[in-house]
Amino acid sequence: MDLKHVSKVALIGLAAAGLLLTAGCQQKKEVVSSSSASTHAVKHQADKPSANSVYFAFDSSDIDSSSKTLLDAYAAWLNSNSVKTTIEGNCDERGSREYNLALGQRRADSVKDYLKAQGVSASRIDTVSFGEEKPECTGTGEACWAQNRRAEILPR
Amino acid sequence: MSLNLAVNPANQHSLQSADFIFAVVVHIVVIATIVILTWWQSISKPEPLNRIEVTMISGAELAKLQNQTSLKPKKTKAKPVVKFDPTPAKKTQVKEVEDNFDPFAPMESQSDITTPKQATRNDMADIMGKQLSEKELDRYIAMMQQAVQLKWKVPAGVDSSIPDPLVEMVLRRNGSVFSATIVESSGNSALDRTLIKAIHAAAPFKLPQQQFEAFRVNQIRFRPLK
Amino acid sequence: MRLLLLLLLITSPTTLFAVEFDVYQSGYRPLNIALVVKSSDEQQSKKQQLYSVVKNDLLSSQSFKTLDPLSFIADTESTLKQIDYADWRIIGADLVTTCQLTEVDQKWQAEVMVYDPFRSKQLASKTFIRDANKFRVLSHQVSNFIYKTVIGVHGHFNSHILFVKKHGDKSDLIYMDQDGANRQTVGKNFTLLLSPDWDPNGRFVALNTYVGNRPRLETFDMTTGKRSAFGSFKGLNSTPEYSPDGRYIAAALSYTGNTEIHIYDVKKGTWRQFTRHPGIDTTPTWSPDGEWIAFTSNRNGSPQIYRKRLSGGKAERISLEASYNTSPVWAPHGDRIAFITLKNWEYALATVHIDGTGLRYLATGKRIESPSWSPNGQMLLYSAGNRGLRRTYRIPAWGGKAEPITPANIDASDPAWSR
Repeated sequence: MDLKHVSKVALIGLAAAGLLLTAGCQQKKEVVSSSSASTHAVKHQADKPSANSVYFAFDSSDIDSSSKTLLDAYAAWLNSNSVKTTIEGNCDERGSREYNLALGQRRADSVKDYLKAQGVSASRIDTVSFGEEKPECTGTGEACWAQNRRAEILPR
Repeated sequence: MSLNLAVNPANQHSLQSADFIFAVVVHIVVIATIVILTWWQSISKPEPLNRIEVTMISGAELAKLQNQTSLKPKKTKAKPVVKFDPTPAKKTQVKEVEDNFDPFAPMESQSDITTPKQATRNDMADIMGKQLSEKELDRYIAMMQQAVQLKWKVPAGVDSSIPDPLVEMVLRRNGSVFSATIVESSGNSALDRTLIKAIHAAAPFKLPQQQFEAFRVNQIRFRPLK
Repeated sequence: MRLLLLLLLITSPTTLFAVEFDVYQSGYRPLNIALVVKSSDEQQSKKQQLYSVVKNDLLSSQSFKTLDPLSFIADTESTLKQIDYADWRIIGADLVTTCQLTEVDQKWQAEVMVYDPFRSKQLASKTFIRDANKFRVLSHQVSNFIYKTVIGVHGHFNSHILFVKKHGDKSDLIYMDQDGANRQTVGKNFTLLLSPDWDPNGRFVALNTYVGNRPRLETFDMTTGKRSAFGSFKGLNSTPEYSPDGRYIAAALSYTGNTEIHIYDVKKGTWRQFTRHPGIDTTPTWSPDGEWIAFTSNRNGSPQIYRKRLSGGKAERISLEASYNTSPVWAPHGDRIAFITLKNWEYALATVHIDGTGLRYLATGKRIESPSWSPNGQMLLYSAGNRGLRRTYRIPAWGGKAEPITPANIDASDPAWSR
């Protein structure tokens, strides 16, 4: 009878010790995971988007819904990183070059305004216009022109 | 042209005053009709002469027309340019002025005017103008206009603020240019020269021989592109 | 009594009946000019040079056609001694110009006479003297003299032209005489170079270039090669134009939040804002009296041309037709503005009166851009070209043919004619 009692106690003791140990481990694990969770969360929520251009309709600087999605991602990235960016506004080849400088500028400013509205500080966003001087695509026709009517978000 | 007044020496005094009064009245009537004519001319000015209907008539028809008008001065086929109907008063007045004077007889070629003849020549011009129908007048004007337009060479642009120049062109019976003078300059002497040149180059002009007087003096307004 | 009657008749109105009609100009036609140049036997090459420079100048204006010397009836000697007008009338000369070229103490002297064979009279004569190394200048003076005598407007033949030559990613600023001679590179390897503009004294050029990936405005001293930035604000700095007195430069800046016209005081180095309107206001151009600035604005939806007084007030719209009108350039004589407009589906160079009337299309072309007036307002430059190389063209402001003035194998854009 004595042995059974001892082994029972021993088992209970072992179990308790085990629990304590694991509890402690768990705690540790939690501590570890919570600290890495903060850095980990940043990594997950704010990668720099791979795409770097939003596109515009002819003679327009309005930001459409697909652009908004991309810009939201950029806002997130900017908000959680100490990075600066330059927005470069561009146009297609139609119309006069001088006017297109101003149109490209408006597109860049339009993107900047949107990002500012998402909480990004204005001092971290620069805007430049290249008008029609730096086309992505050098052909003619809408397929090409659509590619050129863009604002590029570039790290500085 | 001298005035041949039948003067009765016996009643010299009374006749003279009667004559004189008559002559003055006559003259007043002439002046009045001329004033009315110019006024009539000025109110019909708005009609632009640059778009003109050109009707072709044969020489025979033209001669017929002339004969008609010479026989019946009152009746004209088409409206005379100056829109004046020769009234009996005028006719009588003409007779009164000079027995020998026939306004419808062909004019001899004359050298330049001596002052006493001034009035008559202008009466002639009026009458010649009236003899031609409006269409014929327009036709001859159109020919002159086209001729000058064709020869007017403008080699460069002009300032749009310059006034449209006015040239007075006086022609001889044979259509050659007696004189072309700038009445209102464009302000650009080089441009003014092109007008005179155009006129000389366009001459001689085709003019109706019997109604030449109507086309002796021409006022041409040049319209450069601006 | 009869005397009195006579008197009455004499004083009666005389020129009553006169035919009146209008004569309309039906286009432009060049005048036939016979050019007779004489020099001593040893100076034949100089004589040839003067002849060809003057001939080329006159032809380039499209206001003259030079008669072939082979068609001349009269010879040079007799014409210079005592001109026989009939000889020249016969061959259809509207004008005869004689020029006697002599060398006097290291200088060249040109004695010029202009005759009207039609009216058998000499119109004008003048003698020009220039240093030996300024022979082309002397020749152009002869051209100017003929032009002024015959056209009544100053000639533009001693003027100069700048343009931008792009090669790869870089751009050079090229300078040449208006007839293409003396072409030289005055500025090298700019990163993007746009809308150069001459100062009225011909020494400085205001231009738009990019440095460190940002656009800025610079003045470029052509005598020293020195560049100095006068506008490098955040955002856009573009389209500079000097005022007629050279004291100010108007430009388009966007640092206020949208692109507006601002004016730079060259002496003081300060800026003031000229337009205040949401939307785009750009490409300013000054009236010759310095009282107005015309510019492009999309304030009513599409880009159109407006003008506004320097002293303030509301902007008035000038362009009345088409949905797209940009790049206005005010004519030196003040009554017209050249600009780029959308005509049907093509872009075109056009001019219009200040009040919006008298629209005149001059040329269409792919990527037609950057009009620039000659100093006498008779000619315009512009650039055009398909993808690839652009060329600079010259066309009379009153119509006529467009002629290229740069070679086909270089990219030439942004022409600027000196003032």
